[in-house]
Amino acid sequence: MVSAMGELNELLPFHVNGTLDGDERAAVERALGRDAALRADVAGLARLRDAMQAQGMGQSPGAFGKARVMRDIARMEAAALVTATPVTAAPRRSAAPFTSMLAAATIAGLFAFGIGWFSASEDAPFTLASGGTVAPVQGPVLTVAFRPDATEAQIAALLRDNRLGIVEGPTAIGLYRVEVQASANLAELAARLRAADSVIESVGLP
Amino acid sequence: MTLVVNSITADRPVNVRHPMSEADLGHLMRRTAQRDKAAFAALYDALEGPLHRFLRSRLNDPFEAADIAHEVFLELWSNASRFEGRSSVKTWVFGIAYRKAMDVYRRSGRVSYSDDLPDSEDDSPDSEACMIAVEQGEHVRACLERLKPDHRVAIELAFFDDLSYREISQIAEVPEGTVKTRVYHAKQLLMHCLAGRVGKAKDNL
Repeated sequence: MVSAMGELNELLPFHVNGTLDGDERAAVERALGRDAALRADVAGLARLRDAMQAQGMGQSPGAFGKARVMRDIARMEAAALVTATPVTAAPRRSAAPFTSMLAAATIAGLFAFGIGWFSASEDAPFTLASGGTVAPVQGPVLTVAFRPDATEAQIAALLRDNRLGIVEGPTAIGLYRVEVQASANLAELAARLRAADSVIESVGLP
Repeated sequence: MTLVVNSITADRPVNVRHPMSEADLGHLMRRTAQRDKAAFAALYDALEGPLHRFLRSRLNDPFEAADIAHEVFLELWSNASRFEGRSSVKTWVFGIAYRKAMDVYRRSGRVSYSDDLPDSEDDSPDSEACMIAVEQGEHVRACLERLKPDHRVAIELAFFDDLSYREISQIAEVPEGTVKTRVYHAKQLLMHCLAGRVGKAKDNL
């Protein structure tokens, strides 16, 4: 129950911005009906609110800020994937008695891993080393390899310009899967990426 | 709340200006939690302007505000799945921003500067002079800048963002009564400042 004048005065700004509800709004409206001074206060507050809203948002980073955020998200994802462990990978074996057998198994495993990763893990979520997960990719995905001498800045610019995001990689043989905007023309995009031959080594369509 | 954004959806990748409701924002949050970058980009478009203005008023430094807003959006991307809908999306995001701004204050040992304006509910400024001054944007801007950050944030959230005292209390993590008092005092201080500026202008004639 709102009664004290001080409490009423404190509610007036929220009456003016239309966020009071229930008993409080009713109490303020009753008080306004019988008190001309309160009505004058409300009129003054309304003009102050109008004046503040007329100030506008001011300048903000806008599109530049968004590009910066998206670039950092791509970096975070790439960094996380470097340490990610695919759920579908074979369970870790216990230490083998013979080092030569272990080395052979490792080489064979890496080969199978490189060839089979993309098809085997197409829809499976990843569990990150940190414990988090990455949801399955929804949109079309290209498989790309970057030139070994391409810089991080070049790769980031190419991804940003073509609205791509790395979703997996690098594999043991250096391939990345990159997510494509749902509306993209894949053939055109692939041609554009192949033309960027100072950064891209190969492009594979889904 | 009415926000105008460029809407980008997976099946409707077109730029359409339309008001964004809380339901729309909640939908974008859920999609962002599923790692949908188009939804995240739409959230960015909807919230970046108000968030940057909020941080600027809190930190009084547009560049620092931009850096903190950047951190807030990265946290939003990482933690969107933690949004449970118990508050509005804007309240949740502004709450993250408020805590980060407070961290800046603590790290830098910054303290709120004092107003040289009367801080009493009993002082009654010249209402006619206030109303003259309030029509002039530069007076309003100058007087807002003279407020303590707590007062400025409170009245800007109330009058610029049209948030309820409950929402402001969630953002600033202070009791609802404190919010109401801060907004009231901020209004009183603004009125005094505005009346004073008109008075000075008259004296200079």
